Amino acid sequence: MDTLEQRLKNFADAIDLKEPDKVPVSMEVTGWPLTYAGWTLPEAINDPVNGAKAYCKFMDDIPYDCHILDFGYMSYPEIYKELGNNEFVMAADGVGIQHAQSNISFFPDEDYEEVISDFINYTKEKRVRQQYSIYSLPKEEAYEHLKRAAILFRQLNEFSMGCNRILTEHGKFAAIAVGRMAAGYGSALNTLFDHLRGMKNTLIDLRRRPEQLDRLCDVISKLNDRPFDMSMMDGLPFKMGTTVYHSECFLSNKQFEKYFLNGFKEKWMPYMEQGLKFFLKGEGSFMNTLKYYDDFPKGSMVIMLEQDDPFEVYKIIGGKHTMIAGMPVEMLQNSTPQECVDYAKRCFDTFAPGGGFIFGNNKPMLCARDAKEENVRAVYEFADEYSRKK
Amino acid sequence: MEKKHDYEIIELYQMLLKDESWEPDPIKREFLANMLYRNFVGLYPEIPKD
Repeated sequence: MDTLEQRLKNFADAIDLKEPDKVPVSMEVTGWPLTYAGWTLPEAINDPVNGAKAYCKFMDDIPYDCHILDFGYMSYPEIYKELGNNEFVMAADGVGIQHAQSNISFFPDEDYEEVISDFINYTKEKRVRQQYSIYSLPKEEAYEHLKRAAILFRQLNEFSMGCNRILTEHGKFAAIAVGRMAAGYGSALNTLFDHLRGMKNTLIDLRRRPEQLDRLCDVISKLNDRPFDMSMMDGLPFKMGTTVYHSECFLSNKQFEKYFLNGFKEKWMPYMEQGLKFFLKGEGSFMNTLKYYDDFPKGSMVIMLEQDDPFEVYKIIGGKHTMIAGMPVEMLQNSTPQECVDYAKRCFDTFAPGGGFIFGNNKPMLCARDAKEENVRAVYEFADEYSRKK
Repeated sequence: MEKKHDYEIIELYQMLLKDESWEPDPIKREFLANMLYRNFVGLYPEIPKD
């Protein structure tokens, strides 16, 4: 069996644009492993020790090296529900979690100036009460709900810690967890997009109230700007910060430069010139933004694709930055094992020479029916062998 | 007319920190309460110590 040290070294070599002894084979999952073991999420939360063992059962059967994103569940809808928020709901399959941003109340147009002038107090009081209805209840009643949420969170945390302990025992790791606490970049626009105004309102604000939106983004950017020193990453197997595209996939090139790229370069380029890398997880299609990484230090970006065709993206970033790509989940769900293996082979043959490639699936297997077990097994057994240096 | 509240959000967090009934270990209790408030309630950018 490959060890954790070997796997970390292979990952570090791959993102340094060197050919590793074995191309890292990654897998993104949330709910699928529970289905594989015949469990549901509520069952795992109620019995977190055995739930974690069940969640990790697939590791005994399916070979792979690492995850890129966090391993396990970060959330549980019942916790939100206890707080009086229905942003997340359990899917009917008992393992999937659906995010329903349309269920949330965002801050209203008329509060814009108040948010700009008193951001911290607004977000610590008024915004929380908009989002979580328990805080409008009398104090003692609200506290009982909060306490029940805390007990559920304790169960979730125990389940999650158990899963990650077993992951390490299997010599595997979740790549973004390695350096995330030290280096991260999120655009201020994403704070609005994800939390304060929502997708719809933010995209409307860009057109109807750009001046107010810009002033609010300035406030958030200043608060987000935390000190960083390269020595904070000393001792890590690779130095990699994390950034995510959310609103960026909806922006014009000009807006992308203004709301993401300029701030990213200003803050992080000096460190990237000293060897820091940044992992970029994009949602949706974002090939139009990749040309902007041409003038970044060679190998400084580790880009995980979602909807874009990796064979087209490779023409833009191949040899310059690392690409994490491979099986479309749609193929794992609908194609035959042989079709899946043929596609995986084409990925390795095209992207692996010269390093800078990590094999994976384009979207996490969230739900019970996101992938056929026979396809996952065929692809990962093939990849485990084919990824090794000949 | 905006509704007035008789407590601040942070007060309930402080009650969680002191309440042994849901988690007896004080270090674990602080960790869990912090994580609950950061990851779920979404208090931003930092929770003051007290």
